[in-house]
Amino acid sequence: MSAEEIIERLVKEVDGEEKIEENILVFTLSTCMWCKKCKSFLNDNKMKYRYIDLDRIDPNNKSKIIEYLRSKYQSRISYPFLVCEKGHVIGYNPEKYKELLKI
Amino acid sequence: MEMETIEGMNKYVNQVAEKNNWILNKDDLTLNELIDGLVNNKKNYGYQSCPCRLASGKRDLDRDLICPCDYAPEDIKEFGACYCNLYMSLNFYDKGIDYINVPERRPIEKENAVMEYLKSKK
Repeated sequence: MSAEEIIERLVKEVDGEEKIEENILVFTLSTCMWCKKCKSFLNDNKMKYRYIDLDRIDPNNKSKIIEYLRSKYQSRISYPFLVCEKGHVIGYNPEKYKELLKI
Repeated sequence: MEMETIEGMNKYVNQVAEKNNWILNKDDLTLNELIDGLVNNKKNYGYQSCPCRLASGKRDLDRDLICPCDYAPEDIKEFGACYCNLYMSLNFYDKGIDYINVPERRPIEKENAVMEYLKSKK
């Protein structure tokens, strides 16, 4: 199974007002305070998004997803790692979220 | 010390801060979530791996991430806070900010070793 298929299978959805079709996907850790802040930011702004807590999935899927992200975004992966139609943001950065998601 | 409980972990991080002449994050919600993450990692892995980084689950590969992580002293010296913003320098809040994004100081080689380990697990 490809990394993209694994992501589609494991992702969890959070409903929002869907005012922007940004296809937001966040890679998070369940223990990470910054990841919680990121989710709260999206919730507070009523954004529809999907997420995967990478620490909660099996090691093989974990490594496939991280390798895929490293390769696709040519970047080191830190959490939260937010991707959307217009780009990606590494780490919790509300200013960049506002800019990218036009909030 | 019972580090698999909130109370025990709270005591532990307070002791670490005191010993190193650091302070803890002053925002109660943030502090509690960080402590909660440490407790969960302690329960899941057997050691209090950094809650803001992905652990491998193999102690030898995660040794540098055990809180306080190996990078905390340098990060606190340079940025006034550790990677998670759990531990702060005594004067951090004099800057008029609540938090700071600390860049990852962990060598990429260590992350690569974790990747190899994860791939080898069936």
